Amino acid sequence: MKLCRYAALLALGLTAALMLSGCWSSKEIDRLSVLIGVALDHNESKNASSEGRLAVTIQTLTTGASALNSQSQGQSSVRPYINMLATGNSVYEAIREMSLRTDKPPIGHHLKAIVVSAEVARRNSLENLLDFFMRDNDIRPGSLVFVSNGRANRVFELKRSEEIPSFHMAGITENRYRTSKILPPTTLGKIKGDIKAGASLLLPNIISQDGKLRLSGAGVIRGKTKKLVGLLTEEEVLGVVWMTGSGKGGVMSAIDPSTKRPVVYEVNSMDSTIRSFVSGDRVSFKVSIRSIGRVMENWSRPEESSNQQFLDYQTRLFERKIGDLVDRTIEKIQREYKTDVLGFRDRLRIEHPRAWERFKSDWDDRFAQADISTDVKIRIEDYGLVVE
Amino acid sequence: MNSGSNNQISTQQAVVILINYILAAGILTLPRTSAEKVGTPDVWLAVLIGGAIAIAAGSVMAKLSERYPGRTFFEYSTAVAGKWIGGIVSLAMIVYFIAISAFEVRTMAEVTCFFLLEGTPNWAIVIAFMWIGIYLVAGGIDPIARLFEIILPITIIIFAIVTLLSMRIFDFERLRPVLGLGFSPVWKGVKTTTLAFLGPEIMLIITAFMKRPASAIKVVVSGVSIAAAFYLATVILVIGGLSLDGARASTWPTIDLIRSFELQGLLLERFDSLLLTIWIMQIFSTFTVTLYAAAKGASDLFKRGFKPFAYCFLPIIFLCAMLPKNINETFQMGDQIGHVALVLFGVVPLLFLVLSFLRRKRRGRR
Repeated sequence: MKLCRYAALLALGLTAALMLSGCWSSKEIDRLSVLIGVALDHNESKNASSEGRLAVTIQTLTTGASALNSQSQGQSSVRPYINMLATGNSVYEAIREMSLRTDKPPIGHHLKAIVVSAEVARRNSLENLLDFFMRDNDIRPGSLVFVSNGRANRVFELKRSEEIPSFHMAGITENRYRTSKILPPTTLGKIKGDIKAGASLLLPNIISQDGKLRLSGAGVIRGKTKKLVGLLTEEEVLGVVWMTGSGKGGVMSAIDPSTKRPVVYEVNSMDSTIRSFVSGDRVSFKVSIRSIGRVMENWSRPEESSNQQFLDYQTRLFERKIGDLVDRTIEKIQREYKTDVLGFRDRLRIEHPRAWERFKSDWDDRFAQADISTDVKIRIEDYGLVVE
Repeated sequence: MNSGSNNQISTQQAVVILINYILAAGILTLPRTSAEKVGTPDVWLAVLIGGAIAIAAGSVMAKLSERYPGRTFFEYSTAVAGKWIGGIVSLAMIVYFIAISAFEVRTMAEVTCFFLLEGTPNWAIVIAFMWIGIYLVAGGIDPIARLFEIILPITIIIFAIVTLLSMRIFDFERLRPVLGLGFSPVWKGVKTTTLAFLGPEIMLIITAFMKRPASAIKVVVSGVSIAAAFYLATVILVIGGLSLDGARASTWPTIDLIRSFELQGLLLERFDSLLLTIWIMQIFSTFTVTLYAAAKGASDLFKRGFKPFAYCFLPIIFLCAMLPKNINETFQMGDQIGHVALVLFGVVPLLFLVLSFLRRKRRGRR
């Protein structure tokens, strides 16, 4: 009896030792390739019907041994990343196609950027294009999504070889405290909510200029079709940022009409409040934009830098400039794209929930007819270290 | 042999057991299931109402057990409703405890396989989990209570850290308007949120072990309230962070929320594994409590030893956990268990309580 007990204990101990020592499905990190970027393009080759309509480029970091080797050879020109292109009718299919060419399976935990070419976004619903990324268990909802006017995989090729395009892209979007021409980050998670709500949205447009990246304007995605309907210029994105008050910093320059020379306003803070009004089937909005900042460059009348009258004059100058910009932007979005990417829908949903229930099915059309008035107030707090 | 029946637990331990039992699969799915039903951002109100209902139902059960100090429901049910009805109800409850135990194990396996241990077979995770569970349960109520007293503070601290960090993507506007479409959407979600509070039924058993059974109702009120605070925080932060439609579109919205942000400069950049850790501890506690309840019930009902039943139920729970063929069937299983529970613990204890009053009155008259 006692022997039996010992035997059982021994067996149990051995099993436990076997089970506990080591990971069931472990993979060595230098046997993996870290997926950091994906670009979706239209397959333009003649055999597109057999190859699949999508051309998917994946960017992976070179890890472990391969990276070390390149360093020891002292070649600074070796890029720390690899781009691979494959085709398919769906994203996942194309990504798995890469397994025919590399021994290292990609892992998605560190995916930073997904770039969709404008061409592909025009033809396909964003919901379909991003479906795989939203479903996958490794890819995180914090990954950023961009459109690219032109071929998307061009932004994965930079002139400076030591710079990693996907990281670079994600880094640029963190410059919102320096310029107001950058939209709040469009992450997969946020897009998931917008798409499911049927809301229209803006995606930043990233392009490659002489082998360098540039964030330039934004793509407009219509909520109903979830397809790209057009692009906004950098100026218009600036208008959108001012209208929504989403900027964290940046500058605004205006030409002083009396001297025809520029003055520059630096934004400390901006804020906007939208009020919605419903009467019958008519909807109207009142946008109030408020900002506080300082004058940081004055070419116009440097001798009057601290003169209160001149400061008031400049205040009105900047207010008019911002107001015009915002009005032009709204005008274009309303007339040309007829797509509410400015968040008016949320105001209506919150302030007039019952009216919203009636309007939500054809909101974008109704938005195009809405009356929108704007009002801009800024306050110049100081003028830097130069006094006159 | 009937281990555990001599052990006593304090009022505080009873509260801890109750909270640990309530908090389980719901933390990860409640924002979705309730948002689906409610359809407006008023989900949090439905959570509050669900909690109130759970307190009411729990108080009935506590009151019932209070009337029979030192005896579990399975011991006194025959005295209240006669041999047959009492026996059948007890049996139904045992089956229920086994079913919910299996459901929790399955959900745990589902999430662990998907997010943490991709490639490890389901059964390997489940079996290891269950063996540790039986080790605890075999010790009776006292070790269970002691372990839970360790688990709960860890849960609270990590949950607070992780959810507060999610404030960086929180947008209050997503929770507005409040009652924009009136109260009717809220009612649609009340059933779902009430089911998230399954757990006060444990009072039918643990009241018997309490040093002061008179405070059983106090246990229910404080236990459910603390669990409600957890759920409330979860629902508000998930909807404020992901928006109503985002929560509706995520299979596990709470994990999605935690995965949606990264923090640089802190010790860790990613916090989903922390959340999953405390969540697995919570599932473990629910699993052990239900296994204990099922085995204790069977042993009291059939007047046999406790441990043989506990060991016997283990393979049954394993098989039940493996029954659902896919994730949809798993969620369905949870819904069905919930529906049974509404009758079994919403209606039946009330009838028993009335019956018990009548009996005592009659006895008094004699």
